[in-house]
Amino acid sequence: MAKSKQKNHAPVFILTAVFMLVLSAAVSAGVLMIPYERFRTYLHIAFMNQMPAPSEQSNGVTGLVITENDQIPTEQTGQGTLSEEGNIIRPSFGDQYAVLSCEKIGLSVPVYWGSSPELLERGACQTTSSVVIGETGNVVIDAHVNTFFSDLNQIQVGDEVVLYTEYGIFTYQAKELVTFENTEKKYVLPSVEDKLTLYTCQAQVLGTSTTRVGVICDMVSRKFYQAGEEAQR
Amino acid sequence: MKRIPHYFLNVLFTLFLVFSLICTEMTLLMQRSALNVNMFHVVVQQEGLTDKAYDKLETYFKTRANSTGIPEAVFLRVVDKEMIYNGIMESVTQSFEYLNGNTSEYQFTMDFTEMEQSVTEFFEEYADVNGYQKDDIYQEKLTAVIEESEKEILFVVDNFKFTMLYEKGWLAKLRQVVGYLNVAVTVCLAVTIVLAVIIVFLNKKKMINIPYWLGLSAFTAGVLVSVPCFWVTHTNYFSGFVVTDPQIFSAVVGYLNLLVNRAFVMAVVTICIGIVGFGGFGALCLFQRTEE
Repeated sequence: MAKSKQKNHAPVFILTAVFMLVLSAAVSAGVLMIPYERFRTYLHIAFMNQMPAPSEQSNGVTGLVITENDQIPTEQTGQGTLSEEGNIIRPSFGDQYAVLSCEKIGLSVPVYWGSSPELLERGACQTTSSVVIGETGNVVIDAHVNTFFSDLNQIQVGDEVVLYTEYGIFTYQAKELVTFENTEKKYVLPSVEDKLTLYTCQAQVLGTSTTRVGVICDMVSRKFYQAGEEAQR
Repeated sequence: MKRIPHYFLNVLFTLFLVFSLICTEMTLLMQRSALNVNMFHVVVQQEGLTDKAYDKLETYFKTRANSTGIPEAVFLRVVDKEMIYNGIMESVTQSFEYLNGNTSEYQFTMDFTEMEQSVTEFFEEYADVNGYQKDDIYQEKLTAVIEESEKEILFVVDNFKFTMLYEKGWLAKLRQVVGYLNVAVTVCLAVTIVLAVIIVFLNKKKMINIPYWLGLSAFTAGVLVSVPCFWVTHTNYFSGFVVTDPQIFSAVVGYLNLLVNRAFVMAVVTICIGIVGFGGFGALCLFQRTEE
């Protein structure tokens, strides 16, 4: 009798274990539901990043992918293939998508879309709140005064400044030389006029300056490369 | 007839014991790991935070050289990895001095005498070579460069952002938690022991069942803690941390992952205790059957 009783109890113990597990899990879920609902948004914001891991290209900065581009033609390749109308190619953050040139002062600088210390090490940076080169509005580009824009203050009113991209050539003429404080946003804000704003820190001996020096340039010509078939037509 | 209420009493107290065990595990985890200074030391070593902080400062001074004209070597010849490591450890130590109630406020600073000397020497040399007048503006510039550099070093060295936590008032809240932590651990342990004794008492007539109910509590508590820990580790949940700065990312994610690992180990040990309980129960049953 005792033996058969023991046998009958075995499933009870197993079922009890399963029941206990399910019951505890249900109680835990119930208890944790309220704090989870409260903190869900914060958790989602804190751990939402799906950006790529740091790579060699990104100088160790997670999510930053720097793309250099040596395919940008820095001279006009023939009038037949250029038109005033065309399509721009929207760059990604960290893309080198233009070359800034001013023959008068011997300036030729790669231009990256976006601004960060890593990009400023490699060239001039275009702030993402400005328009993409070729669109109507204010194109704002800056660089360090001790590296790429060391000669920016040598540009004179009337000098020609050219932006070369893979989709076109955009020519500007220096209209105004400006000096402003870094807190003053007047020159870097979006505008309805077609213009190019170049600026850098005011060169200062020993220490940084809060003063910025820049050049405002007016658009002179906008020439887009046409696709092969379109050009032949 | 008496058996059914007796069974449900066992289930009820086992359920209480499960949650009491989980609370004990969590409070112990907080006391021994989450809010323990050694845990932060381990994270600093494991995640190579000294090297990351040094790299960040190196980049900062190199970048600054582009706009200030002051070579990075002026700073980096005195700001070495040893200085950064000592700074990191000091920030952790000071934060725990505050958390443990040994100081009334969080005070973290470093000795910048050598760096100040190095910058001053550079300025003086520059002024002498270039005939730069050492007037008020010169002094202002020197002070500004030293202050900015010190501020940046303190910011970078403060890996776990204790200064920010202190300024936002979160460290003060944690200080209150730390104050109650020992009491919480004691209470949880006492409740666990009381519940275990109740289960023993409930089964005093059939003591063979005691390892089963105690083992079941430990096993269930272990599973309930280990499953979320396993999920977090398996999905690499913390790697989605939104702050992408390599140094802060490593500090926070390294800390959280280590904490989860320790909780997981604790849970596995609890599961093992449960399995031992089940094993003991099975062995006792077999022994009893053989005797009969």
